[in-house]
Amino acid sequence: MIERLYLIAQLAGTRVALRSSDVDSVVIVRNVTPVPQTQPHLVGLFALRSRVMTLIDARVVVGADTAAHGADGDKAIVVKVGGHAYGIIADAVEDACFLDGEELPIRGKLSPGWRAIAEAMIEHAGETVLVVNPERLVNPPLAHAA
Amino acid sequence: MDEILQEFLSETAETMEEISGEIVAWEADPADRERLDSIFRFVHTVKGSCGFLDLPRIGALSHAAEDALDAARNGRRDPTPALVTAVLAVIDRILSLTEEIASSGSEPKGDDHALIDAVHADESGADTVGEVIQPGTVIAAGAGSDQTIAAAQPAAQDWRTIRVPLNLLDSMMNGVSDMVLARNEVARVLRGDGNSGAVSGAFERLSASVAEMRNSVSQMRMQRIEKLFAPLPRLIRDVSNELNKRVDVEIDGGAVELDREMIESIRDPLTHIIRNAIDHGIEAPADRLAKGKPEAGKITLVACQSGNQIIIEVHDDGAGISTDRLVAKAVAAKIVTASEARALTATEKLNLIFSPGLTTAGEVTSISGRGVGMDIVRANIERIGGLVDIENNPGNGLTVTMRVPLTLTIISGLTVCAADHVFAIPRASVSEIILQMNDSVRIDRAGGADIAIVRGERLALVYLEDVLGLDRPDAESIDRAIIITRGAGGHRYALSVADVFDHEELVIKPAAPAIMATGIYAGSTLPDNGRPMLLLDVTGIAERQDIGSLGGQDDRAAEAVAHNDDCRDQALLFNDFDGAVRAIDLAVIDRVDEVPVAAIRRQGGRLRALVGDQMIAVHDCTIPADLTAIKLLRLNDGDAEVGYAMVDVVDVVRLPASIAAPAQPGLIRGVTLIGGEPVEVIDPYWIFCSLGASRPAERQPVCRLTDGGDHWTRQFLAPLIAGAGYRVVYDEDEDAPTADIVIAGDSDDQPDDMSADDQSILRLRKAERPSGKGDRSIYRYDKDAILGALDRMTRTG
Repeated sequence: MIERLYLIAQLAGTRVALRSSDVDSVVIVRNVTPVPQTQPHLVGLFALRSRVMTLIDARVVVGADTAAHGADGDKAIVVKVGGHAYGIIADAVEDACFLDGEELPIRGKLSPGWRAIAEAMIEHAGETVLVVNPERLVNPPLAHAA
Repeated sequence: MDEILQEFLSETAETMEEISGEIVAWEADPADRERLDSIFRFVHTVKGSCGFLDLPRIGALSHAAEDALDAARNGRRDPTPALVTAVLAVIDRILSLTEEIASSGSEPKGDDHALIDAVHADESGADTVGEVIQPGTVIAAGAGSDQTIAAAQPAAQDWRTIRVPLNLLDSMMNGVSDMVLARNEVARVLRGDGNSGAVSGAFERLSASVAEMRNSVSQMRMQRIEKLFAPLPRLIRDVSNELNKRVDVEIDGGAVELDREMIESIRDPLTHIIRNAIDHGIEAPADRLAKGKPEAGKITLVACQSGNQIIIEVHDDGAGISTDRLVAKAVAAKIVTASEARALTATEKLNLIFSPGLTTAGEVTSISGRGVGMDIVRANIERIGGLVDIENNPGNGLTVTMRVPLTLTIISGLTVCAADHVFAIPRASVSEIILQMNDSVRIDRAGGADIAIVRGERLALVYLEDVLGLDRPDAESIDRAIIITRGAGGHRYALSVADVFDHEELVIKPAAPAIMATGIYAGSTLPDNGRPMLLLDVTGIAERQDIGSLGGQDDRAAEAVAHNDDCRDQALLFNDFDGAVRAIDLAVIDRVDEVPVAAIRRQGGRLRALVGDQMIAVHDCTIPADLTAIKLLRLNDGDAEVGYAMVDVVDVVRLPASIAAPAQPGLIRGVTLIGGEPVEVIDPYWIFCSLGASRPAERQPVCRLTDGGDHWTRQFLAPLIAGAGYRVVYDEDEDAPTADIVIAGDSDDQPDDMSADDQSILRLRKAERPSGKGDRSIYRYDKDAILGALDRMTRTG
């Protein structure tokens, strides 16, 4: 049953679903330290208690923006990739819910940015949303990061 | 799982690691009764425990090993290599069985007859063969096991310990870190509130106990480096057997303590370095004999603590690295182009070993040489904030030195700022901080490069804002600070920052891979204000700005000039241990320290002194037994530091111009008259050369200098040539060996015995630019070109 639990959130102005097994928690970001000279989708570092995390701007990854933005008070979805914790900026976190439908193969021509991070489609409240893999958000394919 | 079984498993696994080293030591010296006894006790204990734990396979195996070892103890069998290998195989099987029991909870089924037969293979007489696998024997032995268990744990009980799962320890460490941050937050709130004395008093006590707790938790994570070293003799034995080489191993410094996580991070690099040493370093026995070396190679492992660093040194007495072959490989692998390769200095050539995808092995073997090499070693060590150095001694061996911080977690850092961003720099990599306004600093701009001239030393200057792609305010308008630090290959450079704030203890964690990949950052940290901070990687910055060559081009010449301006011809007079008064050039002395004799030890075949938190190689000498402290002259050539031990300082004197040359070049550069007394003058270059342990004189190429009377030739050129591994002779020398190369000035006459276009003559000119088209001479301060030319001439000549 637990594998049917999804987090529904808005990333880069689009409603998406994340598998609950991929998600650690949702936090409010404070005290962001920028990291000069790194990949454009990395906003900087922030701390959650004694853990330092890297903040990711999904808008840059999907190509909706060219430079990363992040500010105190932003919501971030915390994920763990390769032993490091990352926060992905979300415009809004809507719901955590069980979805009865199956994950379906992607149909239709997605924009290149979304194609890089989406793995499947799923039905939520009568609407098709993309299932996003946070690992690909953290390490987007090179063409896009550059 | 059963608690007794659990106890047995962890105890067996632990003892097993210690014991494999013992077995190899015993093989090397079969007469060593103590080793044999401790191995015997181990298998005996295992066998005893198996009786009441119902582990028939382990019981039969340990019983067989016990029989064989008992026979060896009683002199009924010789500890042949075959026996040792068989016993090791049995111990390995026991270990793998215990691992399977740990994961599955019961002993797996299987057949160990082959191993047991091997243990008995060369045993004479059939009296014991039959009873080996009789279960009755095994169970009966269990009766006496209580005593043997007690006996098998020698002095270990004088320290009462309990076992704690590692993840519990880690979660406690994280908890304490959170607690420290919460304390800091409370402290901020209290400061803002203008609180009562009672609250702040209580908070002080809380604060102190949190600090104490953090300290003890860090100590809980410390382990002796022995744990890392114990399995190595076994590894060395197995690898060398496989390659049909003979290697002895010497280990020193097992008592040094290191953070648990550090030990895990060093394990793989260390194993790799040792495999490399055996596979590529140590020659086959026949080759070694042909070279006049002992048949068995030797690997020396030394660990010591120096301040907040641990130094681990792996030394082998094998063939060393052939830099020519290394360069050829690098060119073949397209890591450098042939023309780039020619411009490299000797150190840069050696550093090619750290390039990804490069191996010096002629062919790929099962041990190493798959192209996964020293680059991984260096990456792993640098990831934990350490450094790897290589000291190559072609023909005589290689020393790989790893320096790692004491704990993964806490370093002492300096906070700096650039365009409103705050960063940390490890204190250990900062050698000096100067304000840009200071009179001793001048900043020049030449050909687009910024250069800082600090007290005569010319350093590449890097603005931190430029590195980070941030806006830099007009450099002249504000008072900036210059941090002098060391980049790749040990070249010093100057890093200009907007301001230097503070000095604090920082808890460093690795940052996300994408951030580390920039090469600018070495990790991240969370200071007390709760705002994450990045740690700068000063070596990476130097590489990224590509200033290695600029910073290092004429370091030595520039420094020599700078020193000479201040104290030309001044010398320090001192009493040496043999009662003689000797003199040494004052310009090369950094400082004089008093050092207790106990701090000077012979390690890894040479004398080393522990001064403050530094290890300094000391020129070989015999310290009289009645002294408790000596004075140590610390000599610096701009790159490296060495020590010369003596009794005490007499005076500082002016060195007369006339110094009578000694019969042979050596420690004594010459004899001169000071105050009417003849005084021997020490040659500091010789000290640096000898501590670099160059080739024995008879196998060095001979280099003849035509003008031995010239001051420059004697004081500058001769030491350079000798330091590069050539034997220096002068025209004036009688019965000097035939020279391989002749070095002459550009205006000197043609040597009588040579024709004008002879390939083995190298001409040095005083002018920086060549005089015309046909001028093949080399500018005499172009050290790299001179050494490069010598190198080529030795090979073609």
